[in-house]
Amino acid sequence: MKKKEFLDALSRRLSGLPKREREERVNFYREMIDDRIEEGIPEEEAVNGVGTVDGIVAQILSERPAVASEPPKSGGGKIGLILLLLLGFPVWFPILLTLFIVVASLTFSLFVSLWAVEISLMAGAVGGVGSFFVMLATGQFSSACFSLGAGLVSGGFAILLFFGAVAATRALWRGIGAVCRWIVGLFKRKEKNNE
Amino acid sequence: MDIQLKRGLLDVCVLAAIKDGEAYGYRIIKEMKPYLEMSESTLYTILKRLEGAGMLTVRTAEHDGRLRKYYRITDRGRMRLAEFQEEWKEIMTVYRFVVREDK
Repeated sequence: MKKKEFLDALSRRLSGLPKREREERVNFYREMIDDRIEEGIPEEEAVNGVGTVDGIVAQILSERPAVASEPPKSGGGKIGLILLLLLGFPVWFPILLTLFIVVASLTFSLFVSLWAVEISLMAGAVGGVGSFFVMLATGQFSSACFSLGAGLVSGGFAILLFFGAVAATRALWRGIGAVCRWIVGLFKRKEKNNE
Repeated sequence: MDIQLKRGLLDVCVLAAIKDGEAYGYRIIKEMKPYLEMSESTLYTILKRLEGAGMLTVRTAEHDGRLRKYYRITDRGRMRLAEFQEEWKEIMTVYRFVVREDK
């Protein structure tokens, strides 16, 4: 086989490779044959010296398992993930549930405590002002003044805390809404993927 | 010979073939021939691997009206040769243990 014939056949057989890699490999063999010819070896013998086209292609394929093998099907990973989720259910579900309960109870207790303090302050304000009038009527002037002062301080704090409590309630409401939308969104996305 | 062992040896042999100066592909094959037979396909793969590992550099130059690639060893390549010499001492220790005569 002549050099040109050999290189053309090799190039054709390597047509599955990227163009740059194919040219590089063909040029490598061209150089090898030319070097043999330069040494005085006859052309056909020089071509035989670098091996057969079939042998070269077989070796290239054996060195490229990633390309030669079929790519994994996209469904494989999904099935594996579902299996992993099912098998790991006894582990991940209690952990997730505990985490959810802890977060929910902490949030709820903070929310209740906040409103309890607000109601107590309001009650303190009403009680203080109410006692002021009762004590004034019974002639306890200094105690009446103390009650009024304490009632007004309690009322002031109640007004300040009221805005904070309302803002916290709104934020909590929005948070619950966002979590619900996220959970519903997860199921909707799954439905879309299954379509 | 074990494939992994042979692969490691071939890498080192190619580096050894160019340690005294740059060389082109056919010259590397000829230099190695008395010690280890290597096909062109194998040499191509090894040269690419060593180039990728930074153990040799490649330059293309015109020779007699055609292009030829020349390969030159890098410091990292020389380091690999030095490592191989150390590793081989360990292998020889193991070898002596394996082939020792029965008492």
